[in-house]
Amino acid sequence: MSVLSGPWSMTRAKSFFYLAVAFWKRQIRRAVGLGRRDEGGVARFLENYAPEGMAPLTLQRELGLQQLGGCIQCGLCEAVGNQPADRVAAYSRAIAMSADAAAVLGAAPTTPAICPAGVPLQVARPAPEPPTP
Amino acid sequence: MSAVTVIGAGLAGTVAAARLVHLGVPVRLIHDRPGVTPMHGGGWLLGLETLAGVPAARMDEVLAFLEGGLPELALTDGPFDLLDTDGVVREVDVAPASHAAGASLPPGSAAVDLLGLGHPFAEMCKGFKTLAIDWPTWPGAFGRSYAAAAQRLEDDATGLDALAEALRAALARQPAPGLLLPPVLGLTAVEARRARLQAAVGVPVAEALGTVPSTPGLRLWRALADWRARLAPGLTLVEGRVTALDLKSRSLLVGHDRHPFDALILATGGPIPGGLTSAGSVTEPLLGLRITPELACDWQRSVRPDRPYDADLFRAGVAVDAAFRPTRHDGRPVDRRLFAVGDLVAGVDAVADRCGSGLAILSGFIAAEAAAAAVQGKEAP
Amino acid sequence: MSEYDLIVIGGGVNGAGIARDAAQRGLKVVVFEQKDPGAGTSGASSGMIHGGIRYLEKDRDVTRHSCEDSGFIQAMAPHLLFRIPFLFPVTAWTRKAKTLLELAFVLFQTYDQFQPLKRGKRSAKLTRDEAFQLEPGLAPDIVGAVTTDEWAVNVFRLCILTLLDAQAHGAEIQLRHKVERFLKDAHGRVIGVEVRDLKTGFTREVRGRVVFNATGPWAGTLAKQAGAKVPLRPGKGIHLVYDRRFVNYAIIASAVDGREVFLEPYGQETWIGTTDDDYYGDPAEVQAHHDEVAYLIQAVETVFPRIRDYRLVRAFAGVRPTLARYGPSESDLSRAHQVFDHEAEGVPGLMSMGGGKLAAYRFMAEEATDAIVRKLGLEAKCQTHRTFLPGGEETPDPATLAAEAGIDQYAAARMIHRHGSVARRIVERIRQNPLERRILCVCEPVTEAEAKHCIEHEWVSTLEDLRRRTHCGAGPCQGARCARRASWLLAAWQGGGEKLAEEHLERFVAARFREQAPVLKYQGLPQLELTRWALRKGDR
Repeated sequence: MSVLSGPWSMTRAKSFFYLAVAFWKRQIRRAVGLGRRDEGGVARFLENYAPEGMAPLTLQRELGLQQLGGCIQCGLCEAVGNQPADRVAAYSRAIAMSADAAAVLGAAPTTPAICPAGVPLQVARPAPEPPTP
Repeated sequence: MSAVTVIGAGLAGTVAAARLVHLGVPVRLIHDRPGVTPMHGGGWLLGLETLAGVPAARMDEVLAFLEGGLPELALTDGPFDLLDTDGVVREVDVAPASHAAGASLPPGSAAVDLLGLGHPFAEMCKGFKTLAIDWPTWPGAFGRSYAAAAQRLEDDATGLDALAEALRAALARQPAPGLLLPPVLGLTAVEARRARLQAAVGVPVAEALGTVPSTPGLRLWRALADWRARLAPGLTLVEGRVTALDLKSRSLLVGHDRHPFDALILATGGPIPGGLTSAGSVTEPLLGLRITPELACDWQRSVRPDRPYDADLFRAGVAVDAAFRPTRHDGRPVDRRLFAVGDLVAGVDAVADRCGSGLAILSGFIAAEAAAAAVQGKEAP
Repeated sequence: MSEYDLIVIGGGVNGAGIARDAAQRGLKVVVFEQKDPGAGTSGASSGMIHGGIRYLEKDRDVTRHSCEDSGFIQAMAPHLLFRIPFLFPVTAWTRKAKTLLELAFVLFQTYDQFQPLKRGKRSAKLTRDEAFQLEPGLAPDIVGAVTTDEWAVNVFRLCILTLLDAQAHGAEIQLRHKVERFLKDAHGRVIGVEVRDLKTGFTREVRGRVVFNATGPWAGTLAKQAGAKVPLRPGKGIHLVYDRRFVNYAIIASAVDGREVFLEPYGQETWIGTTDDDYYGDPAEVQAHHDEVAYLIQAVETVFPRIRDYRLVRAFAGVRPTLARYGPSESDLSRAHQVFDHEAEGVPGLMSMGGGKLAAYRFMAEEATDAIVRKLGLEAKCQTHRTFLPGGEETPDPATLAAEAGIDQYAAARMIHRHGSVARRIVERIRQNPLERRILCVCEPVTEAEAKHCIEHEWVSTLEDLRRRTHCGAGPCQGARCARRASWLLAAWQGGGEKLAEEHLERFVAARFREQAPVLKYQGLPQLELTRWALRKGDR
């Protein structure tokens, strides 16, 4: 195995020893039925990151972000729509995470007919809060 | 006889459709989204010399046709040196009257900074005095563009008087022999507004050209829509995107509607509206037409470091013959009744040539005549 | 008689870190940077302040150390750092997929022991369904995933703030100064350098008791000029930058040759990194190549199949100053660093640093400064881990600051990310001149006030410098809406007119295009058309 290649030394042997201990500890805990608890799964992950704004994206959201990538910052939507719409595509760059961007994007307009790239601005609207389990 | 179909209603597509209607050929014009038309800066640099072999007499005919079709813009023959909203000098052949007036502003004129809008105009116009006023018809409109302001003036009937009032007050404090405004004087009947404003403030008034987001471009876009409206009943407008196109059966699909055609003019534009796409290599997505110059997969090699924007890549487009028919490798047309016009055509780089309008107008005009001849059975062998 | 105790050559993270440390310890320091802080290797890195998980199977003490230092950097400048959760999905391509997943989890669990040192989060193991729940874009043929936690930093700001702090402690910072040659005394001792001010073209001699060569990939050639040796095997690495953040979690993938690459949410962008190839050209001329771009995209495609649908904006390239060792393939070369005292080779007075990684920059600077201080016969302890970088003392609340400045909350949040508490000074500017709240760069966004603040206080001399400090012109449109205006602001501050502004713009356009060209075929052409149109030259 490639992880075993390279020069060996006492420090490396020590490091490997700790990894081996961790491995067997894990196997024993699995055998006595504690494996799943250690794994934590999606619950631990969300507990880690959702409070910091890094919630999972839905497929729909990801596709929306991809479509917003068509925006070329021509600013015509703002001129026609009487709204600061030209910032929608720009501010939505961070919509995946930033609450500050969401605060600005709350009222993203629908795309005016003038958009040369046909970018669906409305997809930048923040998603409604997911129901808490 | 079924119609000639034009795909794309930008400058080239609209000129082609208009010419066909004038020649008595029914036209179907398919319109999806506006492409680069609304980014037009206002000054027309016709650059027709890039198209060799077009006799001068023809050119005058083409221009007269254009001015007749777009009376809204009040096009005035130059040449002029005009400033745009970034304070950059643009050399143009023809310009709408409100911009053209900028060429004859007296020395010592002031550039008007509309405070609160997103861009400081006067600061960018070196060599002008500065006159700063609040944008009176839109209090608190911080960060808006000139194009948005023009839309606002278009919607607000009292806006011009308020603007005149504010300018008069500013001139009383700080006299100037002339005023250069950013392009904010509405989207239609601009020249009339400019004349009214000039009369109200008592000194010559002119507008600068636009940069993106461009007021003059929005005006052109509206003027083209008006032109199309005047072309009915000869012209049928279809809104939507072409989803399938078959040359053999001479028909195309827009959504679920099938439209037959006798001849087809592609005016689908360059990369911005998607007339050309750049996934993998540069391709023409509707028919997969031949693109020249052929680009190596390693595009960046064609770029000279000292002229970063001047590369083969930007002249890539559909290869055409003298009648703007897309050609095969052997130089023969793909189809006698298929034409490609405007930004889609190879060999022209609107940015390096400083304006794409000349090619759009001329190619639309010539292709329309060839298409008309073809469907009327008068085509050359 | 020496003018300076220490002459630092190079203003990347290493040079800046050493200058800050030495200045804090009371040395008289001058820094010469030939271009701009972070313009070389530092700014072309992945921006990761990681804890060295890869050392767990070689030397776990290195891991402990890295995590500790990651914690220090967070404490120094909390506003500059942001968290990146990592997903390591395993595809069912081998029969050992489940075993591989289990082994990876054991490795990540072991790493968890060190996570508290850097405010890290515990790892988790996800079933296939759970992985899709978190990232629906993953490839359908995965068997599961394991997760871990790392930090990333705004590298350009890190360099600038480190230098600003060095300056605050008395160091002199000289940008666009190129070292032409070393000055030696009769005994062959390096006693200073001859530097050329690239803005004026004049050279001058500067003397120092120690000259430190922290020039990264240039270290070998520079040391050679003094007759010393820094054995490097430079490696080229490129990163791809997408227009926006479309994943919230980084995803690790394997390339065709088995190397690990990653898709990473970086602030409001998404990056793919990185390649590693030998590079023997001029580090200043390094540029991404289209087949390297294809290599990275292919690798990420195996775990994130829709990657080709997103728009690429640019690709940047850099050269790693990897220490040379004969034989192993590029990636296996240790990123470890080494401080060279060239006295051993008969060139006293000159020291160099080779190797190294961003995450360990503070520690490496400490080690180098310890050696310098020893050499000078002084005794002074490192304080860099206990002192803030400018703006690090406090992170203001975006909503409050936005209300004070009359800008929107998002613009305020981005400004605070770059400036920390110094953002208050920028808001003060806006209070004095409300028009400066105009948004200069829409994509980022950047206010005029912030741009002017950086131009006036952070040694900005080109538009590229301004981009590095503020991201102005770094967004999807690459300057279409802001570069012209920014060139005027900069030219006005420098006392120049239209011509100077035009020159600034031209150079910016060339530099941007260099990074755009290799990725244009990935949905980049429409934007380039508009940007070219907006930034085209005038007719005078």
